[in-house]
Amino acid sequence: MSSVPDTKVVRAVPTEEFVQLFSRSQRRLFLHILAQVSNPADAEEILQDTNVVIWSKFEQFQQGTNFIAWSFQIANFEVLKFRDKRRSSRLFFTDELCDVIAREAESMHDDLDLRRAALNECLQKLRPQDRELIENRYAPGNKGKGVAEDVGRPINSVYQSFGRIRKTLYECVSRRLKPSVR
Amino acid sequence: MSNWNQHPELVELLELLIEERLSSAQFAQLESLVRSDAAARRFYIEYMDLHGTLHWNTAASSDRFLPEEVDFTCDLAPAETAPIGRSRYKQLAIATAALGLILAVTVTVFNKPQNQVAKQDNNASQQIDPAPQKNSTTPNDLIANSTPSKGGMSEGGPVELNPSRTNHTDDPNSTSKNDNTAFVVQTDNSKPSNAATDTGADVVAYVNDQLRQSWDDNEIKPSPRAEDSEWVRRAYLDTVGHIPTGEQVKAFVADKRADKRARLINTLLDDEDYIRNWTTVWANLLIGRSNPREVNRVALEKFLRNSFRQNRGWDDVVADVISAEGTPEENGAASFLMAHLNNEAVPATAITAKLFLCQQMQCTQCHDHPFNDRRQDEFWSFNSIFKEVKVIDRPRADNPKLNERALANVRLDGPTFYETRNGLMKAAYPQFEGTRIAPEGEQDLRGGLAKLMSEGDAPQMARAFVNRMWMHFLGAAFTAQVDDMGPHARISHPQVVDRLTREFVRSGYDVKQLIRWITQSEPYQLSSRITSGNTVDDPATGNEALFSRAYVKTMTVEQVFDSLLIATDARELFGSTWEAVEQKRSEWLQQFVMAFGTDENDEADLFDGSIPQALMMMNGELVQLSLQNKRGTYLEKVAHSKQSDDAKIEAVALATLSRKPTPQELAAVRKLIRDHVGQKRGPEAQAATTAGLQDLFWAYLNSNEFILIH
Repeated sequence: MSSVPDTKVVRAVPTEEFVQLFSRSQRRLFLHILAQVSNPADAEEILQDTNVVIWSKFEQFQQGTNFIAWSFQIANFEVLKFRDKRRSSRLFFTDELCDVIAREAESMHDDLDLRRAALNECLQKLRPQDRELIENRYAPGNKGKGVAEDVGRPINSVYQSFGRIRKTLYECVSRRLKPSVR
Repeated sequence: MSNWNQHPELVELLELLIEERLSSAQFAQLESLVRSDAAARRFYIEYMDLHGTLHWNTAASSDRFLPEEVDFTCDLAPAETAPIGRSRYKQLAIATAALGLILAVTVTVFNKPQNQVAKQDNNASQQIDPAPQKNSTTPNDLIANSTPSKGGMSEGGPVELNPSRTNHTDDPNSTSKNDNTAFVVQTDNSKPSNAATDTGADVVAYVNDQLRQSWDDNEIKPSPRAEDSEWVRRAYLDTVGHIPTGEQVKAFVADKRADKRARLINTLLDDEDYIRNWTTVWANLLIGRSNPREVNRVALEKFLRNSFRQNRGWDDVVADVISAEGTPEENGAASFLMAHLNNEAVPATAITAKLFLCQQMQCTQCHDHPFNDRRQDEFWSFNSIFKEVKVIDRPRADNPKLNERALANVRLDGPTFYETRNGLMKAAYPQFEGTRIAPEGEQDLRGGLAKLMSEGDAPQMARAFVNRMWMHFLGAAFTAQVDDMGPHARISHPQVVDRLTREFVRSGYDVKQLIRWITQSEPYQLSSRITSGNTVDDPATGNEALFSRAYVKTMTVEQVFDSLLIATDARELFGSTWEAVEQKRSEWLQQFVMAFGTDENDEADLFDGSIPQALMMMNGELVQLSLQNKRGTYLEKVAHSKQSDDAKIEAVALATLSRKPTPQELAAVRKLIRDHVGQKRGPEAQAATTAGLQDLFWAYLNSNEFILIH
């Protein structure tokens, strides 16, 4: 880790527009990957691999075309590679199903964006103790067991609470979206 | 618009997934739900998106993963369209853009392993195992304690339960990304194989851990351990099909050895009646009790007796049954298909799926399944495997003038056909679970099916057998219906099913070994009494079985008959030979069975505690005969023995209910005998006492307690 290897020769620098598109796409990319592998830690790893490819291929991106679609394609390919690599240690959906999910998630893209925005408002509407608990759950590196220890409650009751809060959030988000969808 | 109320099981599976507590079987369940139902898939995507958004947004509020060498103060990019938070990736990207591409690439690439390590440290204790608390809750395990002599076992057990922990302690420096996983395939480990085949203490310990966990999860307390007298009766009835004698109960209760329950099971597994019991159980399942058509039950029973006597692997037995050829006299296994090849082999198809795979296919005969993704063509491609075999009449080898009925293969040229609901004829080709079967050399279609059915390390055939056996002993299956483990069926303890299935396969489908594991498990040791701590655990009310107590089962007709013979010692009264007794037994059973002429060759067992059955018991010849004060009967022996009246009463209670009389019973019976005796003296008084005991015997035999397995 100490010595940084020789750097490559730079041929070009990405445009500011590319950088903006890139930075705005990160969360969507992450969520798009997550739908296919279901585990945030895996999704983060795949995202990093994807980012490397995106940066190395920025010249191939044609301005004015759909950046999201382009980067989703790269991400899908990285998901495939990751799955092949880890097949022995993980449970993954079949390739076929994974493909269906990727396509459907992409087609639900606008709707999901709205849901993500609504989620923020719904989080604010939670009871303070619930909000604190769920934020504790999603604190980096934290998991159910850690939260249970923090709050001094049995692990299973904490799992129950997470489930209840997530369901509440899901319902709240769905309610908020209804008028705009219908 | 999707709504989680429409997907109650899906949301629970997703919760397990999110908290990394999903077993491989549950994962399969989730996958099948998400695959088969577009609404479920949409819900999955939305729910995971919510989970991911929460993860992403809150993760962004911390800088702990950010590489130090990058300066984040120069935030040049416009505000993100997404309303919440700033992610580390966004910041990373912006900063690196500012510093130029070279740095961007190097940082992104070389930052990765560091992140990995950092996260490892943060999470080390939580990442190891999705369920580490399961081990800590059970420091002293019932079975592990009862086998202290197995030195390596007690150590091998817990470690083996937790394969990823082993990896960690062996190699603390390992930064293998595999550790960072939601789905470590729990059974995919390199455990020492000798551990499982010996006493299976680790298997039992795993089952116990899982069940205790589910009791904790559901906030219930299991019933106390069953009294020896309660347990011994149950063990006899479940394993050898009849109650123990009074002497056997006394001997077991008096036994002081810690592992006497496991020892008793071993003794029972070697008993002749073990073979008889399981022959009866499977003959009933395979061809029913009513023997309507020309079914050779005797030949089938002979085949089953040999199979259970040799403790043949269950996969072999099933293969013999579904690929049988010839006459039942040559091959007893042929009786099964001969009984069910009527009606275009539809019963054979449906019953094979139901018995050996615990799959309900019969309704997909006419249409696609309404609740799961089983399709009509699957039924008919499965069915076409059985179209290969026909019942034929052929001249006998020893006397060509006479015909005999036999199963014989006919060549299928091309597909078979079936009709869809809109009247179209469609072709079906021999298939099992999507794999096309073609005849290969010596092997016919059914042979190919048998091979496919037992392929892999946890095939559905083994899973189905585990579910059935668990049901037989515990009184409830892991699924609401024992023979419906289809994609829509919820499995109460998927990890337990999974582990038992894999171990069962690994043992070479060793039926006796499976029985040992089940009968040594904690739930089997429990009393059937409901306590205040587990009133909710009642599968009879439609709740999922949690096995926090032994569920009460009703004896089968065969068990009643055989138990009556044991209790009354009246075998001689029914005939001098074994065959005569069997004949009597089968006549007696016929009173309780009614056959329906349905597609599935159904029948009903009327032995359900109903009034006709009660009358049959109370006034039936069998009970009357066995209660006669004749030489050789148990009653005669007790009545004429030189014991006190109390001892005689106790002997009757032990013989019928495997327990001592309660003080109230004792008081009531003393009074009954006193009333009978009255002012009588001498032989008259003796006869009156016997009459009193006879009444008591009759009352006990007709009590619910007698016909229930508790």
